[in-house]
Amino acid sequence: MTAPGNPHGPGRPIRPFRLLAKTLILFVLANLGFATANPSGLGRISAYNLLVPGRERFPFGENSGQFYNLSLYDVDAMFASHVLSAGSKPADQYRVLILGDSSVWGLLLKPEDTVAGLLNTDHLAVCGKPARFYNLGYPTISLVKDLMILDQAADYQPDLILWFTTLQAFPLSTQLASPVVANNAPRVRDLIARYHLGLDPNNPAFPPESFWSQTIIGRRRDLADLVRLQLYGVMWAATGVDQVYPASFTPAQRDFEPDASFNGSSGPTLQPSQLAFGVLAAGQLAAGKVPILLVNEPILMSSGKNSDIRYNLFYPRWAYDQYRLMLSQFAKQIGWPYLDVWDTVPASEFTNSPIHLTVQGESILAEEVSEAIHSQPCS
Amino acid sequence: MTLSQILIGGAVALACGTLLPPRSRVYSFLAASVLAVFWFQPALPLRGLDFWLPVATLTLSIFGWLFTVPVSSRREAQNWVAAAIVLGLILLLGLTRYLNLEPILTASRPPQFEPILGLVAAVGVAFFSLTRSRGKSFAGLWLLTAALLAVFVVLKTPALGIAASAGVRAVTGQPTNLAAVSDLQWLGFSYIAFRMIHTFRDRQSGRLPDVSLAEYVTYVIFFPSLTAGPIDRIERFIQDLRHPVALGQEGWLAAGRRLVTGMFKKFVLADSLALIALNGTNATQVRSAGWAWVLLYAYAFQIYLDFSGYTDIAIGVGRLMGIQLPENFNAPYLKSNLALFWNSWHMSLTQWFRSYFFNPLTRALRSRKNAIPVGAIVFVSQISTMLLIGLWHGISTNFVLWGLWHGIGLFLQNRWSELTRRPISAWARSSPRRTFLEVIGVLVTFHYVALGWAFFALPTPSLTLAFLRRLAGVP
Amino acid sequence: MRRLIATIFTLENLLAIVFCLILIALVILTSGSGPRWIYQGF
Repeated sequence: MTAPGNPHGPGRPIRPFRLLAKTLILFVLANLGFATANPSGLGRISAYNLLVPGRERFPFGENSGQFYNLSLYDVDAMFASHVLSAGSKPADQYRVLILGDSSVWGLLLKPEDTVAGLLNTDHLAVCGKPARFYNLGYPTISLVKDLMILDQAADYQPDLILWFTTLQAFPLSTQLASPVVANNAPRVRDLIARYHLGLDPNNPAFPPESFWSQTIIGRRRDLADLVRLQLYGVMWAATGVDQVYPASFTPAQRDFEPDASFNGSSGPTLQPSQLAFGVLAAGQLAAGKVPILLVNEPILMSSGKNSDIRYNLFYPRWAYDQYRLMLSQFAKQIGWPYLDVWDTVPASEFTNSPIHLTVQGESILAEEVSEAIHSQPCS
Repeated sequence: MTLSQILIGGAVALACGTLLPPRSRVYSFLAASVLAVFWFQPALPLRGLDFWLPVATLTLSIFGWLFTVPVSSRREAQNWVAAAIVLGLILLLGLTRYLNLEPILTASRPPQFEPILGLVAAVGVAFFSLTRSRGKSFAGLWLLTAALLAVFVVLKTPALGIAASAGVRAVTGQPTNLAAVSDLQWLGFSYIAFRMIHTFRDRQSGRLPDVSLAEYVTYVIFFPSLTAGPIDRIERFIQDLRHPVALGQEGWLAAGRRLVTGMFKKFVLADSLALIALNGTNATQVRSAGWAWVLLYAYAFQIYLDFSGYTDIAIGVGRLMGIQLPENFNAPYLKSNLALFWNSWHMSLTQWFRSYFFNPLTRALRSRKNAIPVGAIVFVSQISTMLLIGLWHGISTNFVLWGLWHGIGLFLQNRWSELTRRPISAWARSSPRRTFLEVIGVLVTFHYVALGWAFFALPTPSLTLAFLRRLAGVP
Repeated sequence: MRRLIATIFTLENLLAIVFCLILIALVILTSGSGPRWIYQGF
């Protein structure tokens, strides 16, 4: 193969080994350049809300071939793929963002059967405007995870934030157990610094970073996830499927050992110093002037073996009862409206975990939430 | 083949093709291909089968040579060397069972050594006997052809595959109720069988040249084309084997370009399209005609890029070894009629069927005493050929329907061309008009082929019909 | 200037860029696709 029109003379042959060397040198330079530039906004480039509709909830999936979905760590990409990012907020929209865990996200539920979906179906009007509810729940239970999402979601001009939470989100020792938190060290460190969260910015749970890990090769999986997320957007648009709904599942445990422990402690006192109330409070700073309605989400109240000791797999009675009191006091102190629906959903309407509801359970919850919203004053 | 297998295969090809002395070329190709048969074989749930299937491949290849080689050539010393290499490598791989290491060259831990030794000994004895035999081997050829076709039918027919798997499970003491078609993934068998049948037919017609055992087995299991073709002709293959195409600067560039192009087509484009390509699950989930077409287009391009990508890789790796494998694709989706498409898609397979079925059938029909109309001959030949090509892919109703779709399409296109040749030539005198007809032809042909892929991608006729209705916007 | 551009943008250099981009795409898209993490909240 020769190179026509070359100033060194026509027909200069292409030397394969020189070509290979140049290719490899360029590849190495590209890696070094990528690591040096460390581009952080790649996740904002998205086909969602442009070529394909935005998702009704954050991408999450353990079996991507069946879910047409995947779990990734790039928070920008998560938001970019969400329908929340579909253009600017309409002037007449009352925008409500719902934060929470897998129960809000809706494990085993279709998007329209989650609390956000049901509230949208009700076509509520709040403060004279049609309300649009956005599901910003994400599987794994961690207040730092919620704060991280709230910190970014606040840019989307919400009128109200519903923050669903449960005791399991509070232990300081498990804040970084959420993979999306552990794998967003810079973002979390920034939160720690800005909101004075009192957490260790050098927590060993953060994966070690090196220059190598910032190269194209080091970040290849993250980059591949971004590409695959866009492709799965086609399947989301074509099918509306973002989760697999198995014909059967293992129901939440209802019989327990006589074990009264919670987070390594057998009580009898729940230590506030071991709980992340500071993170919860930082939500006020993140939300700015936007009101937050704090919701203590429903839990399974078992009547099985040793249910006098434990409500469910997550919570011994002593810990949960104290938590409810603390949460209620916290809400009063900080001035947040508080909705405690811990016992409003009957045990028969829980699915595979102490916090995951059936469609009927979500309907009950949605009704309670709707009433609470309407009882809020309009700003 | 995974990317790492391709890269290692390429390195091995380079070493075999350039670094080793010419005298040992064919033996190094043979050894590499024998190891590749084991290495590429996917792991199977049936105990030991992912070792025995490659052994079966090699055994069939050896017997294939024994029945095709002229009697006088069987006893040449070089063939004993080749037999020793093949059987010796089988034994060596069998011995890795006792290394207590993670299997590297085999899909899983090899079975007990004694049965392997027994089989190798039996093959060795048979080899010894047959090389000494003076008898002609046409009966053996028919027997082996029948055996290959029987295995082919079992592997390609779901019900038979499940029954065979259950049978093997009963022998290995594994639960028979878990028998599945996927238990019997025999790497590259479709291609191996057709290469061997080609040699049998050519032997019977006197066209097969004299080849050594090493050359024959290397041809059958040549590792660059083991998993996805192309189906080369042995006459052409051994020419390159004996007189390798010089590599040189141009050869390096050509090989490198094909390799890179192939890997890009397969691992970047095809594997990405696979996420959104039509399949049996999403066909039931798709909500609108527009998106249904997107899934279908994605499938059409995914299957082309996947297959042609593998071909490019095979050609590139072969080139590094001095073997110029035949082309398998020639821009098939840019062809303006179905006949041209089938001259450009999986060319080695269609040429095989043309040589060993279509042409002989057409000749036989034409030479009948009671003349059959030309149209009927075309109809029978094209339909039956396409049916067989469909069945080569799988023995199920949907593959039959796919074959019929193309057979009928070819026949209708043939008749249309006959009817409209004069009026179209009269009309299409100017270049813009010819271009216009060309573009229309390409679009119609592409969409005809794409619709046919629905039969290919989906498992049942009812699902296919439902999907075709969805494409048409019919609920 | 034109000479410089012609010297840089030779066919060999352009091919090297193309091959480099293909290599980058290969490196990225052949990374594993198994789940990054498994939900444990049951």
